[in-house]
Amino acid sequence: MNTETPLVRLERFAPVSDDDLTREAQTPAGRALLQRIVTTPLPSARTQRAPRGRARLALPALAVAVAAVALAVTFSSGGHGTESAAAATLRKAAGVARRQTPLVPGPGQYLYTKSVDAYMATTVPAGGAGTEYSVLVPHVREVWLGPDGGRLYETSGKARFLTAQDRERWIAAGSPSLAEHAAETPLDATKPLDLPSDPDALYARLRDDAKGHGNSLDGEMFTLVGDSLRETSATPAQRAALFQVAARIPGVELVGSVKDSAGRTGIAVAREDHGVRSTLIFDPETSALLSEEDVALPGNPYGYETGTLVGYATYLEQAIVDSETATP
Amino acid sequence: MAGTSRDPNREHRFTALYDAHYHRILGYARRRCSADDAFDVVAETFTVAWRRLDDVPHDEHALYWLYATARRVLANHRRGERRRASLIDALESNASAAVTPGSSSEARTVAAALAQLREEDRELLLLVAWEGLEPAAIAEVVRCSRNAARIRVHRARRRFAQALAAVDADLKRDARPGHVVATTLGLEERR
Repeated sequence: MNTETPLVRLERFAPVSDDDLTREAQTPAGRALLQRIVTTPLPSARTQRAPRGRARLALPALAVAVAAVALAVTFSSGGHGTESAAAATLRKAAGVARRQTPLVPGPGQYLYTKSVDAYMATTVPAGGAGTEYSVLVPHVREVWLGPDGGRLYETSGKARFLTAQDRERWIAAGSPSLAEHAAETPLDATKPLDLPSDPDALYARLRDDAKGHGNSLDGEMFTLVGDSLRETSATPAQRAALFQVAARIPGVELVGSVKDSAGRTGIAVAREDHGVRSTLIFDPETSALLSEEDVALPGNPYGYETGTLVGYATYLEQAIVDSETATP
Repeated sequence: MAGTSRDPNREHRFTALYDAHYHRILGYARRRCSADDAFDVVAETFTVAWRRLDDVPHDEHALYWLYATARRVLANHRRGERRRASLIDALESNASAAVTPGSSSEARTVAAALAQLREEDRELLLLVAWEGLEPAAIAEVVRCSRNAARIRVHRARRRFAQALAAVDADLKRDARPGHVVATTLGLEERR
C-alpha cells in the first residue's frame, strides 16, 4: 500500500527538474538565443501593444464560487435518510424554486453574492516528499455579475492547518505567507445561464458534461448541479430543473434538517463518492443554496482522517443591486 | 519609440528576465514536449516577452506571465496534432519497456492515473505538482479568478486521488501490472 500523497507521487515523476536546468541560460545555445531575440526589430508602436483582455471567469456557466463562514454543519445524526426520501425532498424543492422571484440582473443591474469558502490546498515545496503540508485558507468573496460586466473582490482569512504536523512543516518551510492580497478582478458581462429548463433535457446535458471528468459520472453530475445553483443567474425554471435532476442522481441521500455554519436552518442532501461526502444545504422556504461542504470518510484516498473537512462554502447574501459597488 | 535603434534599458530589463526565468520556462516546456520542441517553445515565449516587454509585469508575476505565454505557445504547437501530452507517452513507453518492479511500476501507476484525467484537470495538477504553483499563481497563468483556480485544483486533485486509488486497487488485484495498466490506459483512449 502506497501511503504517500497522490501529489507527492506525481511530483516525483517530473521528467526533468528545474534545478537541473539553472545554468541553461548561460550555455552557448542560451546566449545565442538571447542575442537573436534582442536584435529582433520591434514591431511598430501601433501594433506593439495588444489590447489586454479582461480577466474573466474561466468556467463558463459554472462557477466559481462560493463561500462559507463557518464550518461544519452539525448533522442531526447522519445517514438515516434514504434515496427515495432525498428524491421526494428535492422534487419538493424544485416546486419551491419555480415559484421564486427571478434573481436575474437586468441592464444596469448586478447579481450580488457574498460568500465564504475554503478548499484544502496541499503544497509541493522544493523539499520533496515529507515536506508538503495541507492547509485550509478561508476566502471572503463578493461578486457582482451583470449583463454589462461585473467585478469580484476577494480577501483571505486565517489559515487552518490540517494537523499539527502540517503546521510544523509550514514553519520548517520558512512560514511563507498564506494570506493572499485582496484581489479585485473585473469580470466580463454575464450571459444568461446556458442550460435547458426542461428536466429531461437538463439531465441529458449534465450527463454529457460530466463524461470524462473522472470515474464517477453520478458524482460529477451532483457536482455540476451544485455549480449551477451558486452564483449564477439561473432562472426559477432552471433552478427547478436542477433540483429535478438532483432527484434522479443515484446515491443522493437525505440528511434532513441541519444548521449551517452561519446558524441558519436548512435541508441537507449528500452524496458519497470515493471517500468524500459532499453535502448541499438549501433553504426550505426559497430553495436557495445556503452551504455546501466536503468531508473525508474512512478509507478516503487522500489519507485524511475520517471527518476531516476538506472544503466548504457558505453563501451569506444574494440580491440584485444597482451598481458594481453596491451591497444590499 | 520602439523603433530600430537599440534601447539599453529595455535590453537590460529583458536580459535580467531571461536570466532569472529561462530555466523555469525551459523546465515547463521540457516536461511537456520533446527537447527540440521545448527549445522552440522557450525561444518563442521569450520572443513574445521581448516584443511585449511593456506588458510584462514585475516580480514573481513576470514568471507567471511567462508561464501563461509558454502555455499558449505550447497549445499552438500542439494544435492540429491533437496528441496527448508527451509526458504521458514518455511515462508509458518507460512502463512498457521495463517490466522491472519498483519505481517503474510506480511510474506506470502514476501515468495510468494521470491518463484518466481530462486535459484541463491534468494541466492544473501538473502546474501544482511540477511547477510548484499555488492557486493564486495558477489563476494568473490560466487567466481565471483565484477562486476558480482553487476549486478547479481541488477537484483535479480529488479526481487524481480517485484515479490513483483505482489503479492501486487494480494492481493489488492483478499481479500483472503491465496488463492492468494497459487496460486502464485503453479506457482513456475512448475519449
